[in-house]
Amino acid sequence: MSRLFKVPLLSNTEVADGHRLASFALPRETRAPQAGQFFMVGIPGLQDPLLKRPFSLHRMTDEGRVEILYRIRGKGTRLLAERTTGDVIEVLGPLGKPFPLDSTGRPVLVGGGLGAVPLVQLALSLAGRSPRIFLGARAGAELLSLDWFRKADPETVVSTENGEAGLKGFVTEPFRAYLEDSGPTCTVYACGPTPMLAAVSAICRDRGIPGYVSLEEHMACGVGACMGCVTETVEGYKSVCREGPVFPMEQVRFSFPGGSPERGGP
Amino acid sequence: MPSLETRIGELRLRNPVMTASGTFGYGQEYAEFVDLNRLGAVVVKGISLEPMQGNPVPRVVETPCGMLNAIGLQNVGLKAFLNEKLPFLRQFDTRVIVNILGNSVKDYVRLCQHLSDAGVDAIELNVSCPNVKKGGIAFGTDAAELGRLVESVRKASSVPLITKLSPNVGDVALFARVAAEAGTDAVSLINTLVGMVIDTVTRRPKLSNITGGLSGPAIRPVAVRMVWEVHRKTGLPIIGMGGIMTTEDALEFILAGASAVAVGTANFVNPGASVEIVDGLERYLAKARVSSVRELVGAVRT
Ligand SMILES: Cc1cc2nc3c(=O)[nH]c(=O)nc-3n(C[C@H](O)[C@H](O)[C@H](O)COP(=O)(O)OP(=O)(O)OC[C@H]3O[C@@H](n4cnc5c(N)ncnc54)[C@H](O)[C@@H]3O)c2cc1C
Ligand SMILES: Cc1cc2nc3c(=O)[nH]c(=O)nc-3n(C[C@H](O)[C@H](O)[C@H](O)COP(=O)(O)O)c2cc1C
Ligand code: FES
Repeated sequence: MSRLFKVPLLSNTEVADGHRLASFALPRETRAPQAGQFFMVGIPGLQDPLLKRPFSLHRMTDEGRVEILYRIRGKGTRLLAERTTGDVIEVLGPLGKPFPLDSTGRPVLVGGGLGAVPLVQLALSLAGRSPRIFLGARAGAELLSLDWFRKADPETVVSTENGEAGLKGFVTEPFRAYLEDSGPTCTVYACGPTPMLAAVSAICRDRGIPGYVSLEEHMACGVGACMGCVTETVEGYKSVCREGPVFPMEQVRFSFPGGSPERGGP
Repeated sequence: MPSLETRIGELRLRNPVMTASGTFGYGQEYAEFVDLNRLGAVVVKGISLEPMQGNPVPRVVETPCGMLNAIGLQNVGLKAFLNEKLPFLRQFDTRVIVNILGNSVKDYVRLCQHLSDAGVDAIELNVSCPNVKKGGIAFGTDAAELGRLVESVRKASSVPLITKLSPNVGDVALFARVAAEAGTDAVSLINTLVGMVIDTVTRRPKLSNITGGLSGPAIRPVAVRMVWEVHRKTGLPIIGMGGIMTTEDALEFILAGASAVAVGTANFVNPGASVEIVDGLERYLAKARVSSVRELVGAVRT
């Protein structure tokens, strides 16, 4: 009954400096993970680090494997990076609310940096509805899943802050320009650093466009039991792990420790 | 088949394993991961008269073999608990123990009246949560205040009363004795130990609340020692907790003097931990040819 699985890593490969792509298979009886959902991942038997680490579903492979894409940050991700194919990891999930797929109009995806990970499976799931995709990053090297995005939208618009790839500047600029030109209705899906999400939400709100954001917060349980991972919404604090991580944009109250949303980028 | 049945005062439990308050939500959150029917009791997140917002994030930070939390007692409040949360738990064949907190004796008394009327199986007084400035710290660390509170609450409650002691005091047995004289049926210990972590890059505390409560395996030896002291000095029924991850950990608490144990932070790591401990205790008793878990309570050889 528990959705905690001990499964072998089927791959764990470096895809860029400090970034890895790992995959594992879930037991057959598990619900199929959907875009926007995440997993709590840990190394069995360890008490330091004690807690599992949350990682978004990057992509379901053709063989039905779960793929996660992660950056090595601290102790937990470093230990995960040291595992090799065949090593057993402990996985809780799939967890959280996925992106709703039955939205109105054209899907418009806006992703920033590594935060764009959950948009990969979303883009693939929505490929039949010709999504428009806008990707931003600080530098070209951070655009890790571009090939997958291009499968869903060959004209995926790329912008980098240092101008290394695509347009120079924040992703919100080409996104805003697109909304200016495109008459028809659309639904926006955004994922990335908080200032970017706040900017995207503000742009959508001004134009009456509906949308969803996927949030991140420090987590302990991942299932809504500890109330450790809350975000401020118009209805008070809600747990990111259970009531999110995907929220309707208009519900989230963004706070701006790093500047105002008008700045428009991370 | 050895017996796992145990008693906390008047309260009979099918087995001595419960969930620790604040680590198991209102039961519902874990219902798809664990068979709640297999637990001795579910202890729910601390309930106050009115809903509480809690602290801003970050509310949790990992520490070596443990974690600090400063949730700030976010909870749905008494009314929503009775209407929306309790009926769900009542579908299961397990005891429901409600952890409560207030800012005044009056708050606690009203909570106890309502919860007694609602027929919950027991009430656990949180007098020790270190997170919210007015969240009960005065009661848990001031013996006279604690005595006054327990006495009033005792009169207002028709169900077993458990006082959850703060470990952030010099002599925990003294507080246990005060609670016993004021009429508590049992004590639970330990609540979290107050701690702090600083980010050396930003030079800021890692928790928005600055300090938080330490839980997990890191605090287990402290908890076992406190259970042993309170058992030896008061003989009160004890629910022991603090870093229990495995059957062996639970047995340490029982041997030190706990009649029951609660699994807290371990739920986050392994939602099945509590049920695995129930099974593990049964196997241990069978193997050691002990007929009842009650024979092991306080049986440490010193
Ligand atoms: C819903 C969700 C989805 C995520 N998806 C991905 C993903 O697909 N790819 C990816 O690379 N990262 C993702 N992250 C971030 C990832 O969880 C952290 O990078 C990771 O937990 C860092 O662990 P560590 O031990 O290496 O770092 P440390 O800094 O040593 O971790 C210490 C503690 O802080 C927590 N923590 C640190 N950074 C973060 C963070 N950014 N968000 C949440 N908790 C954090 C850790 O979980 C741990 O409890 C996601 C986070 C969330 C909440
Ligand atoms: C996230 C979190 C929230 C908690 N909330 C409460 C609470 O509301 N009331 C309470 O009495 N104890 C609360 N506690 C304390 C636990 O019930 C328990 O006493 C403590 O965590 C030690 O056990 P552990 O190490 O097994 O977690 C909380 C602990 C954690 C980790
Ligand atoms: S991590 Fe525990 S409620 Fe979200």
